[in-house]
Amino acid sequence: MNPESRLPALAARALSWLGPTPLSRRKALWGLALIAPNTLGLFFFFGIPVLMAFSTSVQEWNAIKPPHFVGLDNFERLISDDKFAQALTNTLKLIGLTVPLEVLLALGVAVLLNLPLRGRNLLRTAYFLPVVTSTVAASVVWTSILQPRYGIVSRLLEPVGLGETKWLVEPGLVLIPIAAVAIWQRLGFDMIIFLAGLQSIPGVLYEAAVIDGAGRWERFRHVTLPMLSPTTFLVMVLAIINAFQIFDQVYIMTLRTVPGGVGGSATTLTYYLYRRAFTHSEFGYASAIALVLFALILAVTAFQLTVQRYWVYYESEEG
Amino acid sequence: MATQTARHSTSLPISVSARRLVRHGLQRLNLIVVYALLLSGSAFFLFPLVWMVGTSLKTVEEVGRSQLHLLPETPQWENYDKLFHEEAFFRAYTNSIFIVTLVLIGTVISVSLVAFSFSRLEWKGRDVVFALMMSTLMLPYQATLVPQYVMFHKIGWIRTFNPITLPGFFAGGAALIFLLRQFMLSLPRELDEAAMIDGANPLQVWWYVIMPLSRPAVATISVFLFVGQWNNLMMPLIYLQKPALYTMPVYVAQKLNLQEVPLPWQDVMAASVTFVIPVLIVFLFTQRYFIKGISTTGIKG
Repeated sequence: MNPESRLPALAARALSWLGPTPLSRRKALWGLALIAPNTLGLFFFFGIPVLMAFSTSVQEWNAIKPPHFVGLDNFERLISDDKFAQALTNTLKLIGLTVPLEVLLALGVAVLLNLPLRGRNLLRTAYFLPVVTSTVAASVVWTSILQPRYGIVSRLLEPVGLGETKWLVEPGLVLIPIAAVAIWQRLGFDMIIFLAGLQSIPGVLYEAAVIDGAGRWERFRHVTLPMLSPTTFLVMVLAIINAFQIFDQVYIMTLRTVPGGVGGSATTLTYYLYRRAFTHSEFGYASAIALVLFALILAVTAFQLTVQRYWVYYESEEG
Repeated sequence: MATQTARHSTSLPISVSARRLVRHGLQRLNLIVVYALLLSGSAFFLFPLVWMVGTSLKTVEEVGRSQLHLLPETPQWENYDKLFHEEAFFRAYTNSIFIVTLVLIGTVISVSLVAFSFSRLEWKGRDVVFALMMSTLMLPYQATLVPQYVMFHKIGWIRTFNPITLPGFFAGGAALIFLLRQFMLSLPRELDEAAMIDGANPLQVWWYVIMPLSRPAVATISVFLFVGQWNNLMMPLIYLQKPALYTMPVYVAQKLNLQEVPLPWQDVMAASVTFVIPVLIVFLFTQRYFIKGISTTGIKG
């Protein structure tokens, strides 16, 4: 049988695959046509780069020599690279500095702003404004208020002997202001998610608790906290992922001193990746870093998902 | 979203009574403590923004002086006048507006077509494609940063707006698609059918029936897109590479990077204020969409 004579049969099969009736086939064709531009674009702009990420990571690729295959050399280099280890440590330190404080403060603010207070919406807006403020502008302001001797923070800390502290230069201190900006910008976001969680707790539970003689603290401890645990879980996962990706603050706040901090003391994983790729043109090595970063984020998410059953309460589980 | 609004409306009287309970337990002294905490906290949160505006209106001499004053002795409006006459500022501002506008138009059209197809048209494999698209949410942008750059370099897109604007028209936006799809699923089915019987094709249904009804959700994604794009530093930083193409975040960074000692902080702050103000204004008017979007998807921008 020659291929031409099979064509109508194939076309008919393709058509019947789309749907049983002409109308349903027409709808199906429209459905595919409408997602086509976006899906093809997704393949071109993200699909190909994702595949390339793997192939680039096993090549030596820089501005001087043409790219060539080097096997796992880039990953071996990662293991022995002190600067990478430092960037990883800094990132973990930043997670430690930001996530617990941010989640606790956001929970506190959300609980208070869930009370029937006058001017509650205005206060919520005040806490939320930093979220939409550009990180660049925020970091610029913080760089200014943290200037040793001149900045207002230094002036206020003068009485306790911290007036001359070089917050953005001292390797042991530089992560603190970076974390501060991150928390300042993130708290309002967490607060909104917590507020949504708080508002979804059924009021009957509180009524029952009151009848059982529970005080305000007991109601918080035994009703609010367990009922809120899925929200807390979500907020924590999002906060950790966000902290893994800190870049803008490091870029801006160390721009005027030593980019990336003195001796790399402020360099995060994303910042290190950026420097390797776009300052040193080591695309192969940078791709390897990117893959490790991706794997770390996935691992954290997976770990969180497995430990959540020990502390997260879901209503459907009750027996 | 349908189930959510339904749940919301039934839980309303209950949450009101819960509030009364709380109010009942809250004595005056506690109330004062609560207000003191919240007000001092919000002062801390607003302080950097006020400081930015205050410094932008100071004289060189005031900025150079070691100071504790939040506000200038006399506001120096000419700091802004000077800025507005700077060509680089004007260019960065128009570049930012241009890019944001393109991204906004492109992404809203592209993403709403996809959400429409996922929610209101039936076709084989739809849910598989949807799940695949949602799986791109797990990918951090850093994972594709380098290969994307290499690819755009090969097709000659470095030092153009294309790497920033074109993906909006043609690709991705999984979180936005999710948000819009949820909303579109909640609209009554009969609308499409009635329009179809009247002879409308799906594209017309999308534009004349679904899009007007989806205005709140479209507003939400528009605000997300606007804020996210306006504030984006990384993409302009790696792709634009020449001052004539700079957007505001890169321009502000350049101003901070001037090797002048002392740095003219008042100029940097004036630039920051003009950069931040559009977002704050848009946010103040569209707050509820923004907050709605965050609490349904857990993302921003």
